[in-house]
Amino acid sequence: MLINNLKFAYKTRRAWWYTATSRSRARFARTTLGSFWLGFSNLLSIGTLGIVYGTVFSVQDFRSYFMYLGVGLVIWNTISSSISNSPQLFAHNSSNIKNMNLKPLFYTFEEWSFQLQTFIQSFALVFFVFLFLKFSLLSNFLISSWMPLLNLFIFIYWFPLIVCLISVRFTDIAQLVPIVLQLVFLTSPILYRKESLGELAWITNINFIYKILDSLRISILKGDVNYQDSILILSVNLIGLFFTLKYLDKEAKRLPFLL
Amino acid sequence: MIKIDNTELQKLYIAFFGRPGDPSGINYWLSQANSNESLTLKKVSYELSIQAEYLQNILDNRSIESQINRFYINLFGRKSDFNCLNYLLDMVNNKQYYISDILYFLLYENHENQFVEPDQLDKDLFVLDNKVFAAKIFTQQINKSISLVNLYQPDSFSPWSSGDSFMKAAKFISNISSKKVTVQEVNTFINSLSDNPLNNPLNILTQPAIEMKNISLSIPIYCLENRSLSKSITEKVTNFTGGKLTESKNGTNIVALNNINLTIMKGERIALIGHNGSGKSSFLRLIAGIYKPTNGHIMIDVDVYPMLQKTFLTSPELTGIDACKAHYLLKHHCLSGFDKFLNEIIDFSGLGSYISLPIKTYSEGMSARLIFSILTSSPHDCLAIDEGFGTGDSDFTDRAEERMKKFMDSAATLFLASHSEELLKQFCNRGIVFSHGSIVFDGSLDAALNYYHTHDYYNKNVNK
Repeated sequence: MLINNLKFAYKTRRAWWYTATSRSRARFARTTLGSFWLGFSNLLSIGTLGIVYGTVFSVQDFRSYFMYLGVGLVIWNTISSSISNSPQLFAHNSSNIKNMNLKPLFYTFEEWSFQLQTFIQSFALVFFVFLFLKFSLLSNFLISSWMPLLNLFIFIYWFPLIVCLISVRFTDIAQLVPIVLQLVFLTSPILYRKESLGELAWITNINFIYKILDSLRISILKGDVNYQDSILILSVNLIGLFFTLKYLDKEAKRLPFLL
Repeated sequence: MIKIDNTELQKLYIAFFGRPGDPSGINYWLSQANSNESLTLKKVSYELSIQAEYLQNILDNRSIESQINRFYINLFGRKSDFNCLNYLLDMVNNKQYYISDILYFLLYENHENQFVEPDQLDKDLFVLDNKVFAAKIFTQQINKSISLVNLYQPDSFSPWSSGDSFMKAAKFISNISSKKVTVQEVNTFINSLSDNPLNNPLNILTQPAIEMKNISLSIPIYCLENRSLSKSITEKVTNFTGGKLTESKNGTNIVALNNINLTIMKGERIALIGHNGSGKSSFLRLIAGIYKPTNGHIMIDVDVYPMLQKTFLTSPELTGIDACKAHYLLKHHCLSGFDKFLNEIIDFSGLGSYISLPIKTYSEGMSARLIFSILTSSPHDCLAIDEGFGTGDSDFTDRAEERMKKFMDSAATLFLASHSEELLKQFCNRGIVFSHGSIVFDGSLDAALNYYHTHDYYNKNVNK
């Protein structure tokens, strides 16, 4: 069944990638700059937050803080957006789910590619600007980031999907998602350095979302990859992916009735 | 009182028409007998005696004597003996019996004991049993395939014209004597009904497209409100529409489909008939794979293409071209040939340059034109169409109807749920009547519509 699902996803790849691209275009349909806004909005946030929190945290090296904050925010925004949109994923497609015999998997891949495209567009512009601050980021990214990036891409597929499946059945979860995301954001060293947590630094060890974010951030900023950690994260990702697809298969039967 | 069943009905059909009963006729009388306890064989006999087939094709100014002798030949393969004939003639002339009463008398009141030797009586009964056996097998085999049902029909109902297959079947029955008939012989005869062996329905409709065994579908109601639905609501309130409501520990369920046993052969064209909420749409969603059965086994050996509601794959913010492209990619997995497809859509839908505008700027009719044009642009093996799938505004209707006809004709297998008899008669030949999630009738379309419209259907199925 799992193999069949993956075959289906591969066979229909151009259709779900296209509908996701269409969504991105639709989002900025009436704007002049179009999807460039994804990058601009991030740069604006980075600039504003960088100045405010850099001052609050008495940062000495603003240049490296901007890059630290910028890369972290772009990755966080992608993860956060994937998870916060997930409870409504099937509800938004309910009419098609109830009237077309298209596997629900199609909509999950469409959502995933939409998030992926959003990330690529946001990251590209921010990264391009950061290259003016530190050009070695390019070699770091090309050499060291492929595995943490792979982990991010797998994670933003399965984790939002499992949140989505649970939320469809237990609608209270959907109300909790933004609260939990806010807490994770505030307790994760994104705006501030990990060292600022002091004795509470241990909480980052149990924060899987942060692990994904931090490994990619370090690989880009410093060119360092902890392959042991990355393989461990990849293993968790693959296990999560496997069980999520199994769960989706099980829930697909009930899905038209839950919407 | 003698029970009205297949055997007794076949006797009447053989006596009056000389042929086995057609499935829709037999099913009609059986359903009447089930719903009306006061219906007797004598009454059925009378009804058959005033049917056009008898009055126009067989009676043809025959004398009473000739009619009685015809009964004898049809039933026992011999003419009536002199004493018995006089006795029966006397009943008609002096006691004002109808010809239908004579047949009833002949079949069920054993008057022949008075006039016929026991050996002849045994022989008569043996011949009749043989004929009835063959007729029952014949009807049963015909009922297995809608093409055979269509083949075994009169050439015309009004004015009545019997047709070749009825005459051949009558000849087959008339040739049956005291020699026991086998099922193989009946099947061989059915095969010979079609002139062209390549078009033989027995050869065409041999591959099942969909098989269902004891299929049930319960739709759980996942909402907080249903937890407060008291049992009294589900048990005491009469539902005039929809499936039965049941309570379980998890909440309320709607029994959308219940104990469905069905075989649909590739090439059949099925009309789904029933009141609102009878289970037609749930059935369509089940065969399309949108719903999975709660219980039972289903085998689907055909790609079912559902046309249930007008929905686009893309956002209304996007243009008609985007919608076309998404559908094209989903079906063809590449954009090769898309330009031709798009031009054809633009041409047929009449949207012109509107195709480049966002769908949200379209009127409802324009959206309907576009989605109709997209979905009917290429043929499919099996279609599942709900009546809600309209064709847009009136200007578009004529072209849409013509295209829909071609589209439905191109599908080998068709399921059409509708309340429009005109539409069903145009495209379907087998009718399945649903009521409260169960199949209450399955047969030829005419018989199914007849069943649906009988007063008893409403009494038994809607107002229960």
